[in-house]
Amino acid sequence: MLFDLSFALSTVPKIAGALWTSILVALLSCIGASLLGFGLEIARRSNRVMRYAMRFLIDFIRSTPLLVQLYFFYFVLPSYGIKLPALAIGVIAISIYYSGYLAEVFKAGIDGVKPGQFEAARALGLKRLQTIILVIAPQMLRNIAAPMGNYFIGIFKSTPYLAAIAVYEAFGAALDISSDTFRYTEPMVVVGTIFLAIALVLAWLVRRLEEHLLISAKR
Amino acid sequence: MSFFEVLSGIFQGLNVTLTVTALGMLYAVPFAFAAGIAQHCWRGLAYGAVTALIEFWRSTSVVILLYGFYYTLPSFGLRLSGITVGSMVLGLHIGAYGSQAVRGALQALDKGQSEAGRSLGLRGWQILMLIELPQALLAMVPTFINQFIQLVKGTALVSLVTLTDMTFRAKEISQLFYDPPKVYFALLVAYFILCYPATIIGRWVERKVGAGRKLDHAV
Amino acid sequence: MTAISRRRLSLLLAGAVTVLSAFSGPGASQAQAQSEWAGKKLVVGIHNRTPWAYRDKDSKVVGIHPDIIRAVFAPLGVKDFEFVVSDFGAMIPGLLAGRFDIIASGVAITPPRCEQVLFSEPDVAVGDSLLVKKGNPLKLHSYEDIAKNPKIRLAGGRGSENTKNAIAAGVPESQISLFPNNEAAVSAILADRADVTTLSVPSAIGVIDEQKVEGIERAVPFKGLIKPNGQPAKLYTGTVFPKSSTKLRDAYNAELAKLRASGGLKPIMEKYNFTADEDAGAITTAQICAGNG
Repeated sequence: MLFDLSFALSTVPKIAGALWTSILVALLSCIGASLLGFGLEIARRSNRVMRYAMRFLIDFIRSTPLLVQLYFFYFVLPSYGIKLPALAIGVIAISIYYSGYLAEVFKAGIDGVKPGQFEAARALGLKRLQTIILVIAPQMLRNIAAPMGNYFIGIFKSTPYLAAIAVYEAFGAALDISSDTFRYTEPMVVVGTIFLAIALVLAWLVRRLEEHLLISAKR
Repeated sequence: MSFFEVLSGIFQGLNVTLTVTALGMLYAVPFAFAAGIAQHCWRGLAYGAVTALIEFWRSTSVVILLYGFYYTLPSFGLRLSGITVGSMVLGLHIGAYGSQAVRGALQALDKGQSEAGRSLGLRGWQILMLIELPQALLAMVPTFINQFIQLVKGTALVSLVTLTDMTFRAKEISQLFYDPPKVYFALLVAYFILCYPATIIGRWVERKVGAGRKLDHAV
Repeated sequence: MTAISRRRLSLLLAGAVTVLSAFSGPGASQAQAQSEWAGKKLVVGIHNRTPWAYRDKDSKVVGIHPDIIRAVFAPLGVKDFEFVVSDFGAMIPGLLAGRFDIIASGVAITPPRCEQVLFSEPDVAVGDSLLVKKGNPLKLHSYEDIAKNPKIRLAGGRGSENTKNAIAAGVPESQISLFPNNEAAVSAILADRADVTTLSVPSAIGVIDEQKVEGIERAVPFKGLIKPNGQPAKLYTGTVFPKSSTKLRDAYNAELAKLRASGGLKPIMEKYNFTADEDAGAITTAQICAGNG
């Protein structure tokens, strides 16, 4: 049979149940990637040596596939005594990979804040920390919100890679069903549709956010 | 096995990696152009249709689509080789991202240019071919270099559907001879060798061309 | 190979063979003219595991099943094989999707699989084995030992029958996580993500002896799944064909029987450290598919 609808529907509970792991991995990776990316960018600005070192590091991360980095951390870390559950490895690998891209976003975001702002804040007597929190950060966030949102969607769409290191998330669940029943069509259509639907909704939300920020910036 | 023996074993998969990349570019570049221009020029229902197509290819999770097409198309009568499936899925996915950069480059042009063209009596498509595209093309070069890098990285995924690329070779070697640090570090190096020069060239071109729009990354 | 090219190729070859048979000796040409597959290439699915089917250091595909199919297909005139490596659980779906013509890679004959594909007559019969951390700290010697302790994590191969035996022997699914291949499962034990993995005896020996993985050992003695009739469950392996290839399967079985009768199967088994009592014996695929394995 070409497409067995009842079989497809029967796979939904198992796949949707494992979706929570996908979402958890995505959320943790978004946080991890943001923190790491911000750290990379701040480190890059600290001095000349760091500028080249961080740039090379970012280039290295972006010149290698996420899947390969995932395999690397999964298989290599235990050889050095670092034994982590596969889910943690997945979050670490995705965070590191996307931190390279988010570092660029932060760079553009910080550069996008007009230099006059720093001086104006100093003229108003604001201290450095106050300047960052009250003046720079809100403007920076407005610049970076949309690109960051798009990368977050990318992070979510990368979670199926974790099936290759045996994390039980939605795609892995679909693969388990497939190898048990010898049918790939229905499980793949189900998990593909779920991911597509979520990605489309998130993309729409990011677009709305972008429009909202553009409007508020014009005020 | 020494590090160089491992690396040369991995490079045995280079022809598959490069073949999928080259064929993928044949899907990605035309699709990016056609879809980007169409989105820029069309209105109404046609605009909706092309946007839906772009959104589908942009928002799907590549690995799910790869598995789905590889294992289920034959039952629908489409006997495509693994390389065709891999390059088509990767190419169209990355092309969908590229179409946004094409559209952005076209939109960033000074409206005065097309108005001047219209006052000279030129028709819509003539304006596109003679005025808009030549100027936008230069801004798009960094984008297409980026697409090349994305494709090379994306080919790592085809190892999951039995194609014998570099990642696949690495896993094969690893199954015969258990030394994960050597094998997976060599694999990272192999991709770095392929992608880093392109990154450097891309950055140089971007500097020459001026601020080209950075494309949010795909894979 | 697609159906279309196979037909075209066999037409061409039929013509060539008729012409050539006028020149070659009567015996050879008769055997080749009889086999409609003579001179054709077979695409074979394998999962890269010693000793079943794997690529050695010189990139040549060896293993008990590639050697058996080479020996069996030779009299039929088929000498050209293209081996495609796939994850174990993806081999049968790959066969069903036409990605290969046959599978020769330690696939056990089971009733559910019989519903999807055709099997040759069984060649060898093997039992399960557990791989554990060196020293067997959790003292695991049977599936019951695993089931008794809810904290024990079993790493299974996706789609493998060994995992299903564990479940049939009482290991709850909550204690099992599935991995795409043996390398990942073994790595999981070394990284403390799992405590034990189950695979066939020859595969287990392969991991330890061939790959020389350190820190892992076989759990001996081991009591596997016991069937209702009191006999230990055995996994009978055979070559896998799609349901449309009945003629090929029958020709294969005929040649396999001849190979066995002439004693040709034994040296292949011994080459890969299979013992005489791992020969499948007189049991037939039909019996196994009916559940009387």
